Amino acid sequence: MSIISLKTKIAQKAASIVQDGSSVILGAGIPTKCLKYLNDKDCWVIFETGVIGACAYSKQQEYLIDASREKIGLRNGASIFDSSFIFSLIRSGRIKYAILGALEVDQFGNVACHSTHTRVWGFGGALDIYSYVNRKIFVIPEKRFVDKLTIPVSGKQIANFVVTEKNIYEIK
Amino acid sequence: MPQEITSTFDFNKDSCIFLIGGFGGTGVPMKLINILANSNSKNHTIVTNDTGTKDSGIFPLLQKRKISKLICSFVGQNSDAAAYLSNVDLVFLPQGSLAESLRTGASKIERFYERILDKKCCTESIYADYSLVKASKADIYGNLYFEGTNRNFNPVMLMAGKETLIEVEDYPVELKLYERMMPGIYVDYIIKNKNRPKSR
Repeated sequence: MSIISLKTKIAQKAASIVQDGSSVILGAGIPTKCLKYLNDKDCWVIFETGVIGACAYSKQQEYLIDASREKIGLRNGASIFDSSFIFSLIRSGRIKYAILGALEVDQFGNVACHSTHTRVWGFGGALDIYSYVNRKIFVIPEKRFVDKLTIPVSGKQIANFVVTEKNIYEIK
Repeated sequence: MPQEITSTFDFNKDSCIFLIGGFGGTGVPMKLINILANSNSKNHTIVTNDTGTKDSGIFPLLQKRKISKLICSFVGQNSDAAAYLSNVDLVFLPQGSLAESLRTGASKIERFYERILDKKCCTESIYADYSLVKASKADIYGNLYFEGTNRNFNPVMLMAGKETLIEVEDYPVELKLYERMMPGIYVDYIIKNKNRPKSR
């Protein structure tokens, strides 16, 4: 399977878990590929760049990007805000799901996203989402779903679902 | 009324706190960053969301070793920046904490409590010497319009700096009432830059 179709397969599976019409915040990487599938279910896709109601890019007047800095469009009824506002929204508890990437997730739902032993990335918006969004779905290749984390933990027992190209795992 | 500057500004005092707008290399005041990078001062504290890209972001400030402390949420996008970070005091804030530190700093609230994961944290507010901000359009009064997601941290950073410099693509233009996203009372200096960084 090519890399692109692997990511798309994982993204499509993750979107199938989400209830129709619900609000979903997407992180950078594989999660951004969920965009089309979530809009097919009339969801409200939110990005930390300030967009509420994102959909796939078509010729737009406004310059809009997702968390991976790729161009996106707006669905009917969408709105755009600044960073201060969007993080208050993230913390409000009104966003139903988060679909996020990670470097590693283990069987207990511990997530590593901010550093390896050789390189540091930082958290970005991850900790806000881990702390305040109720249902967190992690989309990763199967090889990153491990028994025990091998790199520094970012959030302990955070993952509710792990979706890989092989399976959907629910963590209780 | 804001003062227009064309190509230079006196950033010659050391050890200042700068807020620099942008997210992932978008909505970045690149002309202002280059003016700071070419100045004689050093030992600055930079507050920004991330290290952007090679062409768009604070990379010139890292290359020219202007930064002693970097407060940000993310450094992973720009792998070239990694080499320069070893000499920098790097402080990570969650992106929401960063936004709220700026908002409370602007409102003269000294510190606040917040829950991050399962810990109760006391986070300090941030108020800077200079804000370097990017907007799309400004009218003659300095009212600002931000296009799309180029807005990001720019409005709150505009409010949390003692002296504010705004880089604008179109100036002066007429703005309708609902296009005035931030008021000119916060705008001290305006510099025009029609160029946009390469978009992906």
